[in-house]
Amino acid sequence: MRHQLAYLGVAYIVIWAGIAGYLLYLGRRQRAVERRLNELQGPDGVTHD
Amino acid sequence: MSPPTTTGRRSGTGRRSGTMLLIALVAAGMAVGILAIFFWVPTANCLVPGVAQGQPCFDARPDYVQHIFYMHVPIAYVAYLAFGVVLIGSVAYLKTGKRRWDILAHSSAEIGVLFTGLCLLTGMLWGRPRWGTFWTWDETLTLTFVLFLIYIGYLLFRGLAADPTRGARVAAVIGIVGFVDVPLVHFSMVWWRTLHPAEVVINPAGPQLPASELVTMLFLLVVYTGLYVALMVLRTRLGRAEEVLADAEAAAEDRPPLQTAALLPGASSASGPARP
Repeated sequence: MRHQLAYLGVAYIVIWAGIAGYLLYLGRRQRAVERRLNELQGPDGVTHD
Repeated sequence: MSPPTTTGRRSGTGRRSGTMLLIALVAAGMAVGILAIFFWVPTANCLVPGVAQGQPCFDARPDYVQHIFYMHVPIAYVAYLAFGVVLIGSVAYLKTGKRRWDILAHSSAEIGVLFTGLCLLTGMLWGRPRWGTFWTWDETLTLTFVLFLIYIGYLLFRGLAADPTRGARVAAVIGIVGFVDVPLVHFSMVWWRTLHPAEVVINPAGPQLPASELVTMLFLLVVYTGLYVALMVLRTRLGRAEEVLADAEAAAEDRPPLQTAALLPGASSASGPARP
């Protein structure tokens, strides 16, 4: 029975880790894009090099 | 006109809180689903061949591994759904050439790959105690692995393409052709004598599950669909922001933009005409 619970526990951890990891990855990419856009815009909201 | 906000920060506040509400509902639904799995559906299954599942059985024993099934099936269903959306987005993109369809298809492919990967892993963890092996080159398993590889290829192709527009068009063709594998995966359980258990929810003879198991399964199908929608909202938002960034960088470098100015509300200043 312990053996079965181990497989079940690993399966659930894999699922949650996968979904949570993907959410974190999306958040990190979104922040990077926003940061770069803000750099390009500058404080006046106009595109800069 | 609203002030320039490259990511639609102000106008998108309501949408963001809507997404957060959806994520909270999905999390609550998952919690309810897990409670149902552990406290409502029977844990002890009769493992004696020939005795119907859910019937009284004198050799009943705890069958915790079967709880993986309630997650594995909705995950597989979301993968099918995601690749169906890739198909629709790809066809629409090839027909109209509008970037928003390409972003939809690309976003859905990424989520589909995630869920196919999770489907394969959870299936392996179910299979090891059942079949005595993590993997076998059975028809259903092999076709699912091929499906995973097709859409990995789709994402790799997009990532490595030198010309984004050409990359998007070829990826759309891969997305359309790759979808052929989805019905093959599903019907492989019917057409061939596969080791994979037969489909118990969408079955020509009706659902082959006791009521508590069926209700839990259908509930989790709804919850996972909500999760897919939430992930799609976040991923398409990122895709639109990346397009606007590409246009803004093109404008900053005096290159022709990708004509995605209309993708984000209030983004026109970032993707507007290049500086003299």
